[in-house]
Amino acid sequence: MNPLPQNPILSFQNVSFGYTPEHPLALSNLSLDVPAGSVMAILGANGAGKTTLLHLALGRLHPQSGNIHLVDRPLYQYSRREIGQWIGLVPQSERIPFEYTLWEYALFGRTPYLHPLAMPTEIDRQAALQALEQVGLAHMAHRSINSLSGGERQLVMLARALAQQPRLLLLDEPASHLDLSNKSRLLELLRHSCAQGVTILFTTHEPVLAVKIATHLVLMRSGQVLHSGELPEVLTAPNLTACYGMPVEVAELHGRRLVLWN
Amino acid sequence: MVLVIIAFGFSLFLGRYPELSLLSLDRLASDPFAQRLVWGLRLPRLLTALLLGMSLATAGEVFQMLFGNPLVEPGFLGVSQGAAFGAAFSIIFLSSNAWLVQSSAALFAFVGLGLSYFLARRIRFGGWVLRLVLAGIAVSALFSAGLGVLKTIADPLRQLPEITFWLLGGLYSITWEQVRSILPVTLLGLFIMIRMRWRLNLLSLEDETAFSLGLSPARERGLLLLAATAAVSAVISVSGMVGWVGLIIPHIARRLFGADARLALPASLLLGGLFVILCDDLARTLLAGEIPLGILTSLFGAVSFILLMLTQSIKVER
Repeated sequence: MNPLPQNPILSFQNVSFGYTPEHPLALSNLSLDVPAGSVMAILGANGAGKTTLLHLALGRLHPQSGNIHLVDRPLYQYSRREIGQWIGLVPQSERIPFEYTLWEYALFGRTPYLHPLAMPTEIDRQAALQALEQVGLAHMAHRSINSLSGGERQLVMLARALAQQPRLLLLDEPASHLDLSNKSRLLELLRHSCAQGVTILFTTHEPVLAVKIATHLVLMRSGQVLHSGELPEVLTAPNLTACYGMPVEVAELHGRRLVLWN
Repeated sequence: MVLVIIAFGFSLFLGRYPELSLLSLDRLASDPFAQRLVWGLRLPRLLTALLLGMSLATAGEVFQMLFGNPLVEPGFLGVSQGAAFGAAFSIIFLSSNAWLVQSSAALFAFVGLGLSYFLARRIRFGGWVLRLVLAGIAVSALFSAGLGVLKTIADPLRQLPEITFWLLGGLYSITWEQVRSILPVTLLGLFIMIRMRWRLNLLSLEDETAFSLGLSPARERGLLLLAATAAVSAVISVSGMVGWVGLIIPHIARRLFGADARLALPASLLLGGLFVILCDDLARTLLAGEIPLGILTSLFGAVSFILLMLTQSIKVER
């Protein structure tokens, strides 16, 4: 993990976005740089615009004003397939209506590398299997995905995104269904990806998760960035109190920060 | 594949000429009437049965995957009801000339799809799939009400039997000309669906996932819907309404070969062809007269559906 500031892989410049004209903007005049190679956590109350931010980063939503740059070019100049090779997404949950096996599902992650009408090759199959090994579910590769628990499903979604080999990985509440041991496995995987040069941007409701892994932190409130920067500077009691609109304390125990509230 | 070819060959020689029997090769070589029967009547009919089954089953699989719902079939977005209305409309107001009935049926099938699509775009709530489903139900209801009106004003002696037979479906009067007229559209639609089967898997997932994997979900869904509707409206314009194939065959294919469309889609294609060929064999041989094909497919379709539900519950997520 490199604490030095680097060139941003993704940058938002004065971005505003609203879902419908009648409603207030979901994001207003938001600017944010995601440094390449960082692990950035986004904290914020419900409805603060965290997921909207991820969807804008993915190019699924388009800003009403402002610019989003991926490395050196505006995001809209990339083709759909190029973005698929650059950016992976692990949604919070997903409806999977048919009984795909884990292996088939992980294989879907290889699509950005395939010609639109081509079928996956043996290389893709191995990459998908390897991704399942990483999340520790390779022994169930032929099981149906609907036989899994919520936590295992979240890991399979991660495996799909790993098979995609993105350079920027977006995760929406990645730990929401995970038990403690799977949480620690997730953190291990994210550290491993980061060490391989993948930039990670994730939203979470759990400050603990941010403390454990993030190098950078973004605090959001009502569609705006309150604070952003390196974690040790941003993670303070006054900042978190402003972010959540309730008293939050930050304590240190054995050299690790703890976030406490009543 | 092999099964389909065997069934096709077998069916070519099977029939009432003059009695129910298999035609021998000797007879075919020596009897000019037998030759004309086989080439002029049975072969085009069989080809149509094959295309009909393939199109309905493949389109059924495509619709089920696009809507992420295993209970959907090709007639879903006002397509079947539109076609039925179009055919009845032509029989009553224009003429019962086969060409006119077919074109009118195909036209209204597309009108049904178009109406559902535009209605869905105007609905102000719900996800895209829910809106399409609602719009499809409303448009289908409109067309079936219209069909009811047409049936009451139809001449009960001349026009009503014709409408009824069309609604029940059958392949009794297929000519080479009709086969030629539907062949290009049907093959093109099937080709597109088969070639896009990998992406079809991804389109069965939620939009944001499909999008994050580099797809353009709205555009690719539209293309597949169009291909499926084109193939289906072409075949049912000559065959009439043949139900249940598009619902049951994809289920059987998925049960046998798994959910992945790389296998399930070609399996639907072949099983669909096989199923309709066998049903049509029964339709023309079981009685001296013709049994409407739609009745047989519904009968066997519904029976196998019940068996399927009894052996393992149909899994609908959430």
